[in-house]
Amino acid sequence: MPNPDFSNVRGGSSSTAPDQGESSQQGRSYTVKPGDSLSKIAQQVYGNMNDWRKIYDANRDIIQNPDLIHPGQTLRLP
Amino acid sequence: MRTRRVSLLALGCASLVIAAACGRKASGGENRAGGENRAGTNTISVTDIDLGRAINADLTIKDKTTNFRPSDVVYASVATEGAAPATLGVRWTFNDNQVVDTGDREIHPTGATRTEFHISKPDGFPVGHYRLEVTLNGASAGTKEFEIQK
Repeated sequence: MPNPDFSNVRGGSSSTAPDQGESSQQGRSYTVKPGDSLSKIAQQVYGNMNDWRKIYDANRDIIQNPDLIHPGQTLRLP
Repeated sequence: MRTRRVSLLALGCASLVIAAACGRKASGGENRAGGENRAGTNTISVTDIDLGRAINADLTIKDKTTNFRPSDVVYASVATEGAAPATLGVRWTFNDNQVVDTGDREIHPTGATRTEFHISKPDGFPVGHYRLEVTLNGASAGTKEFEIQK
């Protein structure tokens, strides 16, 4: 019996602990994975894909187009 | 004199038993959480690992379970104590040998923290037995077993 294909598994993380460089500021963050979109991240993090705009508004300095985010980007989660 | 020596010996043995019991507090069953790492004079340790289908705003698990459906998002909430920079890692495996996903996160806690890791699969997870291993700075800090059921 062949092994199941897990290549499309999506993983992510967030923490109440500051990331490096944020040591004086409590906050959560999310590192974009291949296949992610703001609505998918909002669904995973908040349980509501319509909350994507909250993430977009908190990251306007690094997101030029909300339909275009890149793997490896670290987004602030409000 | 002999009675006093025997009493002191008994007291010493009791202290050792109590100390050993306290040291085992973090472990229980086959799942455990208790990795500790030192960084300078600060220490950090994993004190708890929970699984569930949803998380609260403080990153604790909303509904703890070890039984999931194929379409569920599987969340793991890892509690740490301490204030040392560290890297938390996760390794999700299927049937004890096939890697489902891995990930890590660098944290710079100033006290008790929660870090959540999650996995999902758009076409659903295969039914079977899964295992999550959490590492702290590369050393195993705990494991959790869970099932995906129809």
